[in-house]
Amino acid sequence: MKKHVLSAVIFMIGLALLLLLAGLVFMPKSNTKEAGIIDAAANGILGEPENTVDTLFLGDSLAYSAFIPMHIWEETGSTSYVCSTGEQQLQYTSELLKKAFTHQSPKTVFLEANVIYRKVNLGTVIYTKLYDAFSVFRYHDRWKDLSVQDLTRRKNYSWTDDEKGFRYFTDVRAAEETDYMAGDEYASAEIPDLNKALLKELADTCAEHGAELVIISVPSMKNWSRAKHNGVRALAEEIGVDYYDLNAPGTLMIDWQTDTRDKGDHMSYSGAVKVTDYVIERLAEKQALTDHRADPAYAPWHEAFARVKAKNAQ
Amino acid sequence: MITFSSYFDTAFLVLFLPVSVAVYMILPRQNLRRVWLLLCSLFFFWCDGKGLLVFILLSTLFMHHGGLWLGKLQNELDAALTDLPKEEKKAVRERFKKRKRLVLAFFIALELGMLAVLKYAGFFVNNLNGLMGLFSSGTRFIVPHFLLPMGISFYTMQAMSYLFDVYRGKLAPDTNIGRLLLYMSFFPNIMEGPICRWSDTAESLWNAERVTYERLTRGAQRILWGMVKKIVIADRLNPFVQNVFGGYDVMEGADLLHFDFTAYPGWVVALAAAAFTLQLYAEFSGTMDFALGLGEIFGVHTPENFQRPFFSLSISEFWKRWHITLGTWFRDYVFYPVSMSAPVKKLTTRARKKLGNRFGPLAGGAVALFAVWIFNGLWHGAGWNYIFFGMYHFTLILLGNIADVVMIRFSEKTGFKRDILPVKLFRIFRTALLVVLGELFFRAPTLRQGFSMCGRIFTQFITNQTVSRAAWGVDWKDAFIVGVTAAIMLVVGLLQEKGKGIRERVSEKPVVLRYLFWYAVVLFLVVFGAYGAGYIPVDPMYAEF
Amino acid sequence: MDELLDLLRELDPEVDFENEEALIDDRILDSLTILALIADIEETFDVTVPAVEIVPANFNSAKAMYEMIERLQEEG
Repeated sequence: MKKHVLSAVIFMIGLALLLLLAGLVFMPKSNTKEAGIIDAAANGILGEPENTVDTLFLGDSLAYSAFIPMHIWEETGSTSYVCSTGEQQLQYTSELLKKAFTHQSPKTVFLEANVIYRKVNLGTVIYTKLYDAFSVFRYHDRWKDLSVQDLTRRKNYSWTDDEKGFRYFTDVRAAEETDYMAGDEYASAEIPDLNKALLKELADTCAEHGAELVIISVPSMKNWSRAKHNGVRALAEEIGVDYYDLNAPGTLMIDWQTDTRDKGDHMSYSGAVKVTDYVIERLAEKQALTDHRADPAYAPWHEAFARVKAKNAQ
Repeated sequence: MITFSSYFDTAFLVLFLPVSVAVYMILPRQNLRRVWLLLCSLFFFWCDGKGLLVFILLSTLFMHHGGLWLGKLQNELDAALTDLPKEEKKAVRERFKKRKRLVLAFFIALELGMLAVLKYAGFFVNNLNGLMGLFSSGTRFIVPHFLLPMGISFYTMQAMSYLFDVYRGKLAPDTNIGRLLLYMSFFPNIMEGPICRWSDTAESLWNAERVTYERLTRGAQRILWGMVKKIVIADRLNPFVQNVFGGYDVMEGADLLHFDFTAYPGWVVALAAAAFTLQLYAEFSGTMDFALGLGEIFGVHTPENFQRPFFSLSISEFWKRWHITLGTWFRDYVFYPVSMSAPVKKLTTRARKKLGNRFGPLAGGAVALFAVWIFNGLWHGAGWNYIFFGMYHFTLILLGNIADVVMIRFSEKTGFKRDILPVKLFRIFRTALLVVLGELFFRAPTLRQGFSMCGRIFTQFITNQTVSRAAWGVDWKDAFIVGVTAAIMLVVGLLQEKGKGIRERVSEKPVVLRYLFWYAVVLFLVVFGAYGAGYIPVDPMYAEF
Repeated sequence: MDELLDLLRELDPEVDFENEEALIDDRILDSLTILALIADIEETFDVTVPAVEIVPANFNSAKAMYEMIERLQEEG
């Protein structure tokens, strides 16, 4: 019996080492989309110079449609990055946050609240951790483009997104205005236990790295409601973080004729500017804005800003 | 909370599977392990359909009660027969036979009734409405649509075979309903079978033996192999098969354009039919490897469902090697009972007098065979394409049997050898082609599309259409890996055909080679498996039947 | 027994029915041949073979078949 346990353990250790080794080979050697990185825009933060990002935004597609780092830069000279991906689930939010913390020490981390309600499967949580530990699972499909260089070159993540994770859209499709935040004052949408646990883990990670976690809901008729507001509000109090709901009547003057790009689901550019201005006010209150514009180390931000301006002007 | 779309679902692989096996290994007592297996099975079923659990419970209840009733009648008969003169015995026997038959019919009707209502009601009402339309009557019935409990087509067959066997006196009825429930719901077999028999499986299942190191490793190796087939071949081929059979969309400017199979030349349609056949085989037999491997870990005797079907010389042989447990079910509970029924027997005797010993039995056999294939088609689903699929194979088997007799006479006269390698290879190839053609109809969403696709292969084999990368759905690298894996399957099959499987061969090697071999298999699966971002795994193909 | 072997040889002269013990398991006899065989048995031995009896155990060897026939005659 002992002999069997021993040989099973040896086999598994060997297998783990082998998979780690394979991970080194299959890991993209640069963090560009062309090199095969998944969710390149969100992973662009890995290419930012060490400790240069002041604010981090996390969340699903609502986040990358609403927070404009280059607008914050233009207005205040403070730096930020949006690590958001479509249909994001909390365990992936956590993973992106941990990755960001390896090279950055942002003062403030904004979490867009819509992810809190997205259903998470325990199996998915486990395999995300597995994927995180063994990158060969995530990047195995690169066998199609593997070259000899992948065996020899070390990884060099220096690419970053000019928009800093924000996605620029020109579309505007008006939504019929409804009183979507009305409804039972005391209704509360239940947050699944697993999601709660993941959120607490996320809050702990922020605390460990000395960052303040802030939960924020950007305006979205399709995704938000009074009940969800109440649910998140209660949870925010429980873990002791600020919660800003931009859907709450009177918080933000959203014009649903022009401020949404898809009939009340995501913000349009004009809506995003309103959201970002609101964020700037809150950051100013927290004294979490640093003006880097005169610092020569931040020259790339000036260049990126010019490129974005030129591109979006077209 | 959790639903498992297949055994290859990550939630099943990283959570359910390890927990179910680990807890089973820790539990010290047999009855605890039994209960654990039962709990796992019910939980697995519950995850899929919540309230649908009630159907498998009902099925088990009927089976339990019907078995006991039949058993009681048998006991009464035995008691009545003792001390009876031989002449009277026959009359008593007849009387009891009638009663037993009635009881059997009642419970079979209950089991079959649930299946029929849930699975076929929609199809029949639909066709009834169509028929009424012909007579331009205004009446229409509402087409019912039910959620199917997982594995209903499989466990209903198991329940029926149990009742038949008790009726035939082959089995003593079981009083313990827990044992019956485990036999019905055992989670490795519930999704795609195999269809077990009480006499093969129930005892080993209830024994819930301790896991041994040998069985654990052998089972794990088989599971791994099943995963390679399913994840490397079936999932990787899916975009191509899906595009050709189901059509594909292309964005052109702001418009979404839809193309169907007519966008492909006939040879690509033929290739897709072959790819689907390979995909189906990889998926189904891979799942069977998974189920049997898992069964092996738990010490359960599960019947094999495949025996390298693509080495078959004829269609009739193919069906003895493909989905074996379904074939033997139909053989034992449809084919023989029909061919042994008085009218068919009479037909056989008469035909033999007229046609001789070789062609004669075919007449009666044909009637029974027809019944088998109608049921077989229907079992796969309520759709005309499945019925056509059944009739297609019925015709081929019948023709094959006639041709066989002719060929035997021909070779007797001319000395033509049918068992030399080139002739055998030709027969294997021909059989595979016929199977592929049948699977085309099987996969086509409607019978009409099946015919159109078939027509395209024969009339427009080569056209000047170009097939874009988006239309292929896969690239040449995908095709290459599928080809390599299929070649490995072929080699493994040849080794098994020689009587010694790959696992036995490897286990005889020194430890270093053994480890290296299994590392290579795992790495092959991890790297070349079609999973993760950009891949959608195929649903279990037989689970819907 | 000899009568039975004659029947079998007539069906397929190439099989060694006296010694073969896996006629069904090794697929030497297919289901159609079984049908012909049963018809022969019923005629020659004046018994009725019900579908219940058609299991591999009863047809795997000539000996098993003969035992079945004797049993059926007994039950009559």
